[in-house]
Amino acid sequence: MARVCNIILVCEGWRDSAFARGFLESSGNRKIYPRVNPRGSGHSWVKSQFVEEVANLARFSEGRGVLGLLDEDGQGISEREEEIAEALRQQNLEPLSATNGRCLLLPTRNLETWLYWLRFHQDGRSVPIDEATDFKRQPPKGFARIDDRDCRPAGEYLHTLNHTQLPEGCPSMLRKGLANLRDFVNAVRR
Amino acid sequence: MASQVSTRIMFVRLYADNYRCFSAFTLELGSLSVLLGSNGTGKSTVLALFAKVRDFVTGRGKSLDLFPAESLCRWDKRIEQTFELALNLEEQGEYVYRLRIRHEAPERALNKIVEETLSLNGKPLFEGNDQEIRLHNDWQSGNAVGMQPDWHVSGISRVYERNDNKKLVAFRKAFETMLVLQLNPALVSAVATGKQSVQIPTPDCSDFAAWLRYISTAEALVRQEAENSLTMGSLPGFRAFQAIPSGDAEILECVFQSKPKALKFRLDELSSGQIALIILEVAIAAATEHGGVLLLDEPSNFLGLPEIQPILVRLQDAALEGRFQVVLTAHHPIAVDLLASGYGLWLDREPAGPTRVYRVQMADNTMDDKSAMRVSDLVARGWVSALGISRSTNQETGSSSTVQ
Repeated sequence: MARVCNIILVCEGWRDSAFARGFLESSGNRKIYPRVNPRGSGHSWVKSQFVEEVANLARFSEGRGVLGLLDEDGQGISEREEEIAEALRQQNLEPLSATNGRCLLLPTRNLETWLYWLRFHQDGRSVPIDEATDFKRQPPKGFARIDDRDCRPAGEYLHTLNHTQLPEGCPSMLRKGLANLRDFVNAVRR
Repeated sequence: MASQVSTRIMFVRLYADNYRCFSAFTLELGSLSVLLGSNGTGKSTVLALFAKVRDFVTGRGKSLDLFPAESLCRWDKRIEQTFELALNLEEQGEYVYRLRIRHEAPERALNKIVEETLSLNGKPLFEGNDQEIRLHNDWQSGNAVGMQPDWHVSGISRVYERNDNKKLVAFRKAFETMLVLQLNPALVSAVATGKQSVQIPTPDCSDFAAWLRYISTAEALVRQEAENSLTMGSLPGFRAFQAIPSGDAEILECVFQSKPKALKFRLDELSSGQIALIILEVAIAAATEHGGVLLLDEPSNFLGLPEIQPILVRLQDAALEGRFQVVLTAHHPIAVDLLASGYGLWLDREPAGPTRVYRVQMADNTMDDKSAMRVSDLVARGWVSALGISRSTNQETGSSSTVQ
């Protein structure tokens, strides 16, 4: 019997994909079909492909969930969310809901914010991480740059955290993202 | 190319001159490199050359067999071939291996090694020519030890391991982690005859049963990992390998889950795609265990569409997470779309001319919105200028071919 992918993952780059797969695989989801922008960035590509995959979810019975990962990049969370909402409306698609298997993660300012916070939290270090600085460009002062091999373990570590007991200082969008991921995982399990 | 994590063993540069379609050809490699290009541009030749140098350095082959006169460039009158490989080994540094072979009597299929050298971080470890060999110790101190050269056998392959030559031996052992696979499932045998057990399979993997026999005894963890991956989903229903004695030989069977009892099939009774998947899983498990180098010619060949992306993603993960180095050739659209941008090296060649190589760099206006064209579409149309490839008009001169 052919392999059936239940979760479609739409990401800007391999790092986002490795992070998200780290989380999903830790939660027992291995049938993932990652779609990664070949250029490695470009929010418009992710936006269009994500909306297309949400539409596919409504059309094909095998799919159970679509997970998108899109850096906020200083553009504003509400602006990013509205862009996607508008694109969904244009296609007569329902608004996003992680409990219905349609989830978009929006790290502010980008995925590196989450990766550094998770690394420091795992190491038991208290290093403030704000959501405005572009850590992709410059790591926190005095710390080594995150590299490719840190991404999947960060997703796996996130899976071990309780979204209701995240400490003060956790980036707000990571807090929201983890809650959404829990709902998403429950939704695709059904 | 995106900045990449280094693997423990990483071949970073290959140079070949006067060999088949390569004339002063340099290929620079990262932890993940994907060779692209039309048929006949030298992609498979790159992989085959790696296998030949490995077999030469590890004493599995002689220059007469590995580098016959027919491998000289047809348009070149020179009778010498030069090969150079740069290898980064964790905790050691950069090794540079250089081999020069002279075909003095091509009509009689005679050649000889006229230069074989190895340096580490710029300092010599091994210096050989057709008259003498000088073997330096790990500290490059004191007098070099002399050795008698053999014109057809690598001197490095003949060095016995001692306490003062661990660096040279580490270089040689790195080659033993190199797997070069150009699969042909139709040739794969389920039979391992006699005591046949091979540490490094042939590129077509026709001796897979003997390779798995070696792995089962010497590297049981590799077999277990491969079986786990196959069981976990890459080959639905698969449970385990089983070697059945048959006279002097062993027959490799694959056990599949079935009710009321398991079904067993000889390896060569499976489909080409299933055989390819099995070999790829064992190769991935072996490369992971060795932290080595995996070179795959068209890994998507023979695989069903649902199987291609998962294998490619796992290879990409392994390389980018630093578990082992991966070099692929790719024609399949899924592979091209997934990997060309960021890791692609485009090989190009005029008919009967030398190969040139270009790093794929997508033009800004090609991919960024929903009207973007897939890389595979661009390649299929031959619109490779969008990949940053500008073919020159004087390629037939072929003076040098380096990454542009």
